[in-house]
Amino acid sequence: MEKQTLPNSTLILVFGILSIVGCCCYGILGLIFAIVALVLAKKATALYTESPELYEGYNNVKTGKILAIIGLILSALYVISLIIIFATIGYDGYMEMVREQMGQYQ
Amino acid sequence: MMVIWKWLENRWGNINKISTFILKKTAFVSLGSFFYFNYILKMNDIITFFESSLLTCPSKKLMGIECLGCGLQRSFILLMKGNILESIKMYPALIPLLFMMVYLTGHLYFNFKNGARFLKYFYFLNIILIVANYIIKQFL
Repeated sequence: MEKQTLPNSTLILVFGILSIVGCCCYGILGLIFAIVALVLAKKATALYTESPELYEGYNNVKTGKILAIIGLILSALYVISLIIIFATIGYDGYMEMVREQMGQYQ
Repeated sequence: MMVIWKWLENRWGNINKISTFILKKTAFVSLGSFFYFNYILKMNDIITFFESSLLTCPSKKLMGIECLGCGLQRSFILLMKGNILESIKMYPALIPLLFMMVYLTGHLYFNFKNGARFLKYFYFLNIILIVANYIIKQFL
C-alpha cells in the first residue's frame, strides 16, 4: 500500500514560518498564523498517531508545530507587554514616557 | 533560443564547428547584456514604486514604539539597491529570512532529506537575530 502525505503538512510548515515573519502589526498577524498552524498540527498529529504506517511527512508537521509555538510565544509576549504598559501607566503616561525618550535622542 | 541554435547548426555546423561556437557565444553575450540593462531599468522603476508605497507600522505611528518587524521594508529597499552592508545594519535578519523562504519553497517541492531540521535551525537563528536587534535598538 502506498504511503500518502499528511493533510496540510506543507500548510503547517508555511504558517509556522509566517508566524515570525508577520510579527509586525501589534503581533496580531503572527498570533493568527501561529494559532491556525497549531490547530492544523493537532489534527495532523492525531491522524498520524492513529495509524503511523499510513502517512509520511510527519517531520514537516513536527517542525511546523515547534516553529508555530515559538512564534506564538514571541507574539504573545509582545502583546502582553503592550497590555501591561497600557494597564499600568495608561495612554497619557505612556505618551509622556515616549516623549521623554524622544527628547533624549534629539 | 534553442530553435535558433538548431537552425544555425543545421546551416553552419557541418562546415565549420568554430564559427557556430563563436556565433553562439556572441548571441548569448549580446542577449545577456540586453536583458541585464533592461533589468537595471526595470529595477529603478520597482525601487521607486516600493519607496513610494511604504507601509507605516501602526504601532510606530500611533504609539511611537517600534515593533519587531520595523525596518524590514527599509532594509529590503537598501538590499535591492545593492547596499548590502547598510541593509544588514538596518535589519540583520532580512537575508536569513529571505534565504529561509527560498529554502522552504525548495523543500516543499523537492522534499530534501533533512530539510525540516535545517529549517528549524534557520528559524532559531532568525529569532535570535530579530530579538537581539530589537533589544539593542530599543533599550540600549
